[in-house]
Amino acid sequence: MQCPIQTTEHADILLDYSARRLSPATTAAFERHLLSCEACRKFASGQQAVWSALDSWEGIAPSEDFDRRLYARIGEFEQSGWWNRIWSRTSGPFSWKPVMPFAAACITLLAAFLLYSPSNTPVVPLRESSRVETLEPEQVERTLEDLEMLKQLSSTPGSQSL
Amino acid sequence: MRVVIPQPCPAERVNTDMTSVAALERDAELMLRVRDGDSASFAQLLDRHRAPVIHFLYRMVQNQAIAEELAQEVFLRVYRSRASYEPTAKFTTWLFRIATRLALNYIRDRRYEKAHDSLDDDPPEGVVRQLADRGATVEQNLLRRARFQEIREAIETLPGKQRAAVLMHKYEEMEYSHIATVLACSESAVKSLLFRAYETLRVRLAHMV
Repeated sequence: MQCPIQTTEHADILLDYSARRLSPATTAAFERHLLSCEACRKFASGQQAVWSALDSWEGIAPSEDFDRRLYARIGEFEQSGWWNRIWSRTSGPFSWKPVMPFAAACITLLAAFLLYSPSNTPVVPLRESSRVETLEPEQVERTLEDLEMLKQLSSTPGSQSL
Repeated sequence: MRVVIPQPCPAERVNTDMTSVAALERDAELMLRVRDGDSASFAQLLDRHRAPVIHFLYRMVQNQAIAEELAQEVFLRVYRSRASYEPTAKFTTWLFRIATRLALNYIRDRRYEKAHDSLDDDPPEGVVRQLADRGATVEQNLLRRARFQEIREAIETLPGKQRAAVLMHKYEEMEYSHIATVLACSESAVKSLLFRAYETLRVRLAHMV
């Protein structure tokens, strides 16, 4: 048997062993493996301890009036208006969760459309300072040449004294 | 130490499987009758699943009054949805899915509130606490209480989904696939949840043997 701790595909054997859900053949094989594997032995005994501890946590006895209260609620539901019934049916197994992102996306799109639709967008004249200056290719070329010159000047000996 | 664990023989296993299949069919049959307006069938379903649902919710939220309130909500939702019921999935999967969702919502909403009732508090009217042995000595009872409290606290430290997975695995004896359907995740995710949860519990409860 492959070690369940080292092979993830057999790891559930460790849990199933304590839960007594293994077949007799697998139980026997695992118990043979336990004799030689310290790690599995440690895991199994720890898991057994947890299992025993949890066994001692018993359930509770339901209140005597549990059914009476439940049937009272069912009676209230039956007597409520048709709108409440439909609403409560949809709020049961139906979840609003998947609808929410879709609704949010629709609202965002609508808001964006209202804000940026061409008919509503006011035309604001650009101020002089905010205009983007367009640079000519020659201007860029000249600047690059100037930079190159400055670089050469700084690298020549004696330029430090200038 | 070699652990010898008695396992049911194959014939017993087949009988158990047949019984569980019959139980599942019975649930679906009852629910279909409830759908057709038979209130006696709803009472039978309630009888069959009242205790497991309350126990599960009690262990999830650790407060009897809240567990019963949530259990009522579970059965009320089953009743409300009876008209649209189709036996496509196990009835218990549906039931525990509702119960788990309600419990996880409760835990999320009350994360910062310590609302569980202490063993020292007086139980609410009509509530009977089940301790393991009523004929035990005072010392044994105290030890049992301390042990019980430790288990509750250990379970309480688990994140909601891990807690639900452990409770369904341990107390409801559900298969990994069944738990996966209830928690709406993959079977490997359930195994991973269980491994992490039991690891936490091993650390906290290992000394209790």
